[in-house]
Amino acid sequence: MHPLEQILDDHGDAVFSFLLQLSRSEPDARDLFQDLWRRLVENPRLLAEARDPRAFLLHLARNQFIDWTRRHSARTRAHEGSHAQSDIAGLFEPTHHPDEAAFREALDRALGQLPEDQRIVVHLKLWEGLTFDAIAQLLDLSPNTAASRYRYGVDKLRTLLRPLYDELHTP
Amino acid sequence: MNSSTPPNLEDRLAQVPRRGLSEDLRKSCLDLARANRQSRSPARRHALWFRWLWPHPAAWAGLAAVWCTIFALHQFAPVPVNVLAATGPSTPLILDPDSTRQLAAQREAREELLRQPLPPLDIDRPRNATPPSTNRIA
Repeated sequence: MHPLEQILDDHGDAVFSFLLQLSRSEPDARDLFQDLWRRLVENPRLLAEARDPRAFLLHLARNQFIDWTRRHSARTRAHEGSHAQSDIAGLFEPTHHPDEAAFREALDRALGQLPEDQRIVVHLKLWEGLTFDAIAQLLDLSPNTAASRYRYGVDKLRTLLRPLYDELHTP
Repeated sequence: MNSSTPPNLEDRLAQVPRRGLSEDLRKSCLDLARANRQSRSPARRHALWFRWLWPHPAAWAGLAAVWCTIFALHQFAPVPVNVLAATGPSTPLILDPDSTRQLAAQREAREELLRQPLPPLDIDRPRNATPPSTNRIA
Protein backbone atom coordinates (compact mmCIF):
# COMPACT_ATOMS: atom_id res chain seq x y z
CA MET A 1 0.00 0.00 0.00
CA HIS A 2 1.26 3.47 -0.86
CA PRO A 3 2.21 5.61 2.20
CA LEU A 4 -0.46 8.19 1.43
CA GLU A 5 -3.14 5.52 1.25
CA GLN A 6 -1.89 4.18 4.56
CA ILE A 7 -2.19 7.66 6.06
CA LEU A 8 -5.74 7.96 4.77
CA ASP A 9 -6.62 4.61 6.35
CA ASP A 10 -4.90 5.33 9.65
CA HIS A 11 -5.83 8.96 10.23
CA GLY A 12 -8.48 9.98 7.70
CA ASP A 13 -11.45 9.33 9.98
CA ALA A 14 -9.90 11.21 12.90
CA VAL A 15 -8.99 14.24 10.81
CA PHE A 16 -12.39 14.37 9.11
CA SER A 17 -14.18 14.04 12.45
CA PHE A 18 -12.07 16.85 13.91
CA LEU A 19 -12.84 19.08 10.91
CA LEU A 20 -16.51 18.25 11.28
CA GLN A 21 -16.32 19.22 14.94
CA LEU A 22 -14.59 22.49 14.05
CA SER A 23 -16.80 23.52 11.17
CA ARG A 24 -20.02 21.79 12.28
CA SER A 25 -20.96 21.49 8.64
CA GLU A 26 -20.45 18.38 6.56
CA PRO A 27 -19.95 20.17 3.21
CA ASP A 28 -17.40 22.51 4.79
CA ALA A 29 -15.64 19.61 6.49
CA ARG A 30 -15.43 17.82 3.15
CA ASP A 31 -13.97 20.89 1.44
CA LEU A 32 -11.48 21.37 4.24
CA PHE A 33 -10.48 17.73 4.19
CA GLN A 34 -9.99 17.77 0.44
CA ASP A 35 -7.86 20.93 0.66
CA LEU A 36 -5.77 19.36 3.39
CA TRP A 37 -5.41 16.14 1.44
CA ARG A 38 -4.37 18.06 -1.69
CA ARG A 39 -1.63 19.75 0.33
CA LEU A 40 -0.41 16.39 1.55
CA VAL A 41 -0.47 14.88 -1.91
CA GLU A 42 1.44 17.79 -3.41
CA ASN A 43 3.96 17.85 -0.55
CA PRO A 44 4.40 14.26 0.63
CA ARG A 45 7.44 15.36 2.64
CA LEU A 46 5.18 17.35 4.99
CA LEU A 47 4.62 14.21 7.03
CA ALA A 48 8.11 12.79 6.66
CA GLU A 49 9.54 14.56 9.68
CA ALA A 50 6.46 14.36 11.90
CA ARG A 51 7.10 12.33 15.05
CA ASP A 52 3.38 11.82 15.67
CA PRO A 53 1.54 11.87 12.32
CA ARG A 54 -1.90 11.95 13.96
CA ALA A 55 -1.09 15.00 16.09
CA PHE A 56 0.62 16.67 13.15
CA LEU A 57 -2.40 16.11 10.90
CA LEU A 58 -4.78 17.43 13.54
CA HIS A 59 -2.58 20.50 13.91
CA LEU A 60 -2.63 20.99 10.12
CA ALA A 61 -6.40 20.55 10.13
CA ARG A 62 -6.84 23.22 12.78
CA ASN A 63 -4.62 25.65 10.87
CA GLN A 64 -6.50 24.85 7.71
CA PHE A 65 -9.76 25.64 9.47
CA ILE A 66 -8.42 28.94 10.83
CA ASP A 67 -7.24 30.01 7.36
CA TRP A 68 -10.51 28.94 5.85
CA THR A 69 -12.52 30.86 8.47
CA ARG A 70 -10.55 34.02 7.72
CA ARG A 71 -11.08 33.62 3.99
CA HIS A 72 -14.77 32.83 4.31
CA SER A 73 -15.65 35.08 7.22
CA ALA A 74 -18.92 36.27 5.68
CA ARG A 75 -19.85 32.72 4.76
CA THR A 76 -18.97 31.50 8.23
CA ARG A 77 -21.21 34.10 9.82
CA ALA A 78 -24.02 32.88 7.61
CA HIS A 79 -23.33 29.32 8.76
CA GLU A 80 -23.39 30.33 12.38
CA GLY A 81 -26.80 31.79 11.73
CA SER A 82 -28.05 28.62 10.16
CA HIS A 83 -26.58 26.50 12.98
CA ALA A 84 -28.74 28.39 15.41
CA GLN A 85 -31.76 26.89 13.66
CA SER A 86 -30.42 23.46 12.69
CA ASP A 87 -27.80 22.56 15.26
CA ILE A 88 -27.14 18.94 14.31
CA ALA A 89 -23.77 18.59 12.62
CA GLY A 90 -23.90 14.81 12.16
CA LEU A 91 -20.81 14.25 14.28
CA PHE A 92 -21.58 10.65 15.14
CA GLU A 93 -22.31 7.44 13.33
CA PRO A 94 -26.04 6.95 12.75
CA THR A 95 -27.71 4.12 14.63
CA HIS A 96 -31.01 2.30 14.37
CA HIS A 97 -31.41 2.05 18.15
CA PRO A 98 -33.92 4.78 19.06
CA ASP A 99 -32.55 5.58 22.56
CA GLU A 100 -28.98 5.67 21.33
CA ALA A 101 -29.99 7.77 18.33
CA ALA A 102 -31.71 10.24 20.67
CA PHE A 103 -28.66 10.37 22.90
CA ARG A 104 -26.27 10.97 19.97
CA GLU A 105 -28.52 13.68 18.63
CA ALA A 106 -28.67 15.37 22.02
CA LEU A 107 -24.91 15.11 22.39
CA ASP A 108 -24.40 16.61 18.95
CA ARG A 109 -26.69 19.49 19.82
CA ALA A 110 -25.05 20.00 23.21
CA LEU A 111 -21.58 20.13 21.65
CA GLY A 112 -22.88 22.81 19.31
CA GLN A 113 -23.72 24.94 22.33
CA LEU A 114 -20.19 24.84 23.70
CA PRO A 115 -17.75 27.63 22.89
CA GLU A 116 -15.37 26.55 20.16
CA ASP A 117 -12.26 26.45 22.35
CA GLN A 118 -13.98 24.13 24.85
CA ARG A 119 -15.51 21.99 22.12
CA ILE A 120 -12.12 21.38 20.51
CA VAL A 121 -10.50 20.33 23.76
CA VAL A 122 -13.42 18.06 24.64
CA HIS A 123 -13.24 16.44 21.23
CA LEU A 124 -9.50 15.86 21.38
CA LYS A 125 -9.73 14.45 24.90
CA LEU A 126 -12.79 12.25 24.53
CA TRP A 127 -12.63 11.05 20.94
CA GLU A 128 -8.93 11.24 20.20
CA GLY A 129 -7.81 10.18 23.65
CA LEU A 130 -5.05 12.78 23.78
CA THR A 131 -3.46 13.82 27.05
CA PHE A 132 -3.72 17.41 28.24
CA ASP A 133 -0.03 17.86 27.43
CA ALA A 134 -0.59 16.68 23.87
CA ILE A 135 -3.69 18.86 23.50
CA ALA A 136 -1.78 21.84 24.87
CA GLN A 137 1.03 21.27 22.38
CA LEU A 138 -1.39 20.87 19.50
CA LEU A 139 -3.37 24.01 20.32
CA ASP A 140 -0.44 26.12 21.59
CA LEU A 141 -1.89 26.33 25.11
CA SER A 142 -0.65 25.56 28.57
CA PRO A 143 -1.72 22.13 29.89
CA ASN A 144 -3.62 23.84 32.71
CA THR A 145 -5.65 25.90 30.23
CA ALA A 146 -6.41 22.77 28.23
CA ALA A 147 -7.53 20.97 31.39
CA SER A 148 -9.74 23.81 32.57
CA ARG A 149 -11.37 24.17 29.17
CA TYR A 150 -12.09 20.46 29.19
CA ARG A 151 -13.57 20.64 32.68
CA TYR A 152 -15.82 23.58 31.79
CA GLY A 153 -16.90 21.84 28.58
CA VAL A 154 -17.73 18.54 30.24
CA ASP A 155 -19.60 20.27 33.05
CA LYS A 156 -21.73 22.07 30.51
CA LEU A 157 -22.34 18.84 28.59
CA ARG A 158 -23.35 17.17 31.86
CA THR A 159 -25.83 19.93 32.57
CA LEU A 160 -27.27 19.78 29.07
CA LEU A 161 -27.42 16.00 28.84
CA ARG A 162 -28.37 15.21 32.44
CA PRO A 163 -32.16 14.96 31.95
CA LEU A 164 -31.87 12.62 28.97
CA TYR A 165 -28.98 10.70 30.48
CA ASP A 166 -30.85 10.10 33.72
CA GLU A 167 -33.96 9.09 31.84
CA LEU A 168 -32.05 6.60 29.72
CA HIS A 169 -30.23 5.10 32.69
CA THR A 170 -33.12 4.98 35.17
CA PRO A 171 -34.23 1.42 35.74
CA MET B 1 -29.63 1.41 27.51
CA ASN B 2 -31.05 0.95 30.98
CA SER B 3 -28.69 -0.41 33.62
CA SER B 4 -28.53 -0.48 37.38
CA THR B 5 -25.42 1.69 37.71
CA PRO B 6 -25.14 4.48 35.15
CA PRO B 7 -21.61 4.70 33.76
CA ASN B 8 -19.48 7.77 34.15
CA LEU B 9 -20.65 10.38 31.66
CA GLU B 10 -17.21 10.95 30.19
CA ASP B 11 -16.71 7.24 29.56
CA ARG B 12 -20.17 7.04 28.06
CA LEU B 13 -19.45 9.97 25.73
CA ALA B 14 -16.12 8.53 24.64
CA GLN B 15 -17.89 5.35 23.57
CA VAL B 16 -20.08 7.16 21.04
CA PRO B 17 -18.48 6.41 17.68
CA ARG B 18 -17.57 9.54 15.76
CA ARG B 19 -18.35 9.78 12.08
CA GLY B 20 -15.50 9.08 9.69
CA LEU B 21 -14.80 9.55 6.02
CA SER B 22 -17.56 8.60 3.65
CA GLU B 23 -16.74 6.13 0.88
CA ASP B 24 -17.08 8.70 -1.88
CA LEU B 25 -14.78 11.18 -0.14
CA ARG B 26 -12.25 8.44 0.50
CA LYS B 27 -12.41 7.38 -3.14
CA SER B 28 -11.95 10.93 -4.43
CA CYS B 29 -8.93 11.35 -2.12
CA LEU B 30 -7.36 8.14 -3.39
CA ASP B 31 -8.03 9.19 -6.99
CA LEU B 32 -6.31 12.51 -6.36
CA ALA B 33 -3.28 10.76 -4.86
CA ARG B 34 -3.06 8.37 -7.81
CA ALA B 35 -3.42 11.16 -10.37
CA ASN B 36 -0.69 13.15 -8.69
CA ARG B 37 1.58 10.11 -8.57
CA GLN B 38 1.10 9.51 -12.28
CA SER B 39 1.73 13.14 -13.14
CA ARG B 40 5.12 12.89 -11.40
CA SER B 41 6.21 9.77 -13.29
CA PRO B 42 8.80 10.13 -16.13
CA ALA B 43 6.38 8.75 -18.70
CA ARG B 44 3.88 11.44 -17.79
CA ARG B 45 6.56 14.13 -18.06
CA HIS B 46 7.28 12.87 -21.58
CA ALA B 47 3.57 13.10 -22.31
CA LEU B 48 3.55 16.71 -21.12
CA TRP B 49 6.36 17.56 -23.52
CA PHE B 50 4.49 15.82 -26.27
CA ARG B 51 1.30 17.73 -25.45
CA TRP B 52 3.25 21.00 -25.54
CA LEU B 53 4.53 20.22 -29.03
CA TRP B 54 1.30 18.66 -30.20
CA PRO B 55 -0.49 21.68 -31.78
CA HIS B 56 1.91 21.80 -34.80
CA PRO B 57 4.37 18.91 -34.67
CA ALA B 58 5.30 19.32 -38.34
CA ALA B 59 6.26 22.97 -37.77
CA TRP B 60 8.45 22.04 -34.80
CA ALA B 61 10.06 19.22 -36.78
CA GLY B 62 10.72 21.58 -39.72
CA LEU B 63 12.31 24.15 -37.44
CA ALA B 64 14.51 21.48 -35.92
CA ALA B 65 15.55 20.30 -39.42
CA VAL B 66 16.48 23.86 -40.46
CA TRP B 67 18.66 24.25 -37.40
CA CYS B 68 20.34 20.90 -38.07
CA THR B 69 21.08 21.96 -41.66
CA ILE B 70 22.55 25.29 -40.56
CA PHE B 71 24.75 23.51 -38.05
CA ALA B 72 25.93 20.95 -40.60
CA LEU B 73 26.75 23.64 -43.18
CA HIS B 74 28.64 25.60 -40.58
CA GLN B 75 30.67 22.57 -39.60
CA PHE B 76 31.51 21.11 -43.00
CA ALA B 77 31.54 24.05 -45.46
CA PRO B 78 35.02 24.72 -47.11
CA VAL B 79 36.95 27.83 -46.07
CA PRO B 80 36.22 30.71 -48.57
CA VAL B 81 38.93 31.52 -51.18
CA ASN B 82 39.35 35.18 -50.10
CA VAL B 83 40.14 34.02 -46.58
CA LEU B 84 42.88 31.76 -47.95
CA ALA B 85 44.31 34.62 -50.06
CA ALA B 86 44.37 36.99 -47.11
CA THR B 87 46.34 34.56 -45.00
CA GLY B 88 49.03 33.96 -47.67
CA PRO B 89 50.85 30.75 -48.54
CA SER B 90 53.49 30.94 -45.81
CA THR B 91 51.02 31.62 -43.05
CA PRO B 92 49.35 28.69 -41.40
CA LEU B 93 45.61 28.54 -42.02
CA ILE B 94 44.67 27.88 -38.45
CA LEU B 95 46.14 30.32 -36.03
CA ASP B 96 46.01 30.18 -32.34
CA PRO B 97 44.69 33.61 -31.37
CA ASP B 98 46.45 33.42 -28.03
CA SER B 99 49.83 32.81 -29.57
CA THR B 100 51.58 36.17 -29.96
CA ARG B 101 54.45 34.45 -31.71
CA GLN B 102 52.25 33.28 -34.53
CA LEU B 103 50.65 36.69 -34.87
CA ALA B 104 54.08 38.30 -35.07
CA ALA B 105 55.15 35.85 -37.76
CA GLN B 106 52.05 36.65 -39.74
CA ARG B 107 52.73 40.40 -39.45
CA GLU B 108 56.33 39.85 -40.57
CA ALA B 109 55.21 37.89 -43.62
CA ARG B 110 52.89 40.73 -44.64
CA GLU B 111 55.63 43.34 -44.27
CA GLU B 112 57.98 41.19 -46.33
CA LEU B 113 55.42 41.07 -49.11
CA LEU B 114 55.10 44.88 -49.02
CA ARG B 115 58.91 45.35 -49.16
CA GLN B 116 59.29 43.22 -52.30
CA PRO B 117 59.54 45.40 -55.49
CA LEU B 118 56.66 45.22 -57.89
CA PRO B 119 57.39 43.88 -61.42
CA PRO B 120 58.09 46.73 -63.94
CA LEU B 121 55.20 47.78 -66.10
CA ASP B 122 55.76 47.91 -69.86
CA ILE B 123 54.01 51.23 -70.54
CA ASP B 124 55.28 51.68 -74.12
CA ARG B 125 53.88 48.40 -75.39
CA PRO B 126 50.38 48.80 -76.81
CA ARG B 127 47.69 46.77 -75.22
CA ASN B 128 46.51 45.05 -78.40
CA ALA B 129 50.03 44.33 -79.66
CA THR B 130 50.39 40.74 -80.71
CA PRO B 131 53.32 38.84 -79.40
CA PRO B 132 56.02 38.06 -81.98
CA SER B 133 55.42 34.92 -83.90
CA THR B 134 57.66 32.04 -83.02
CA ASN B 135 57.66 30.91 -86.68
CA ARG B 136 59.31 34.17 -87.79
CA ILE B 137 62.04 33.90 -85.23
CA ALA B 138 62.68 30.42 -86.24
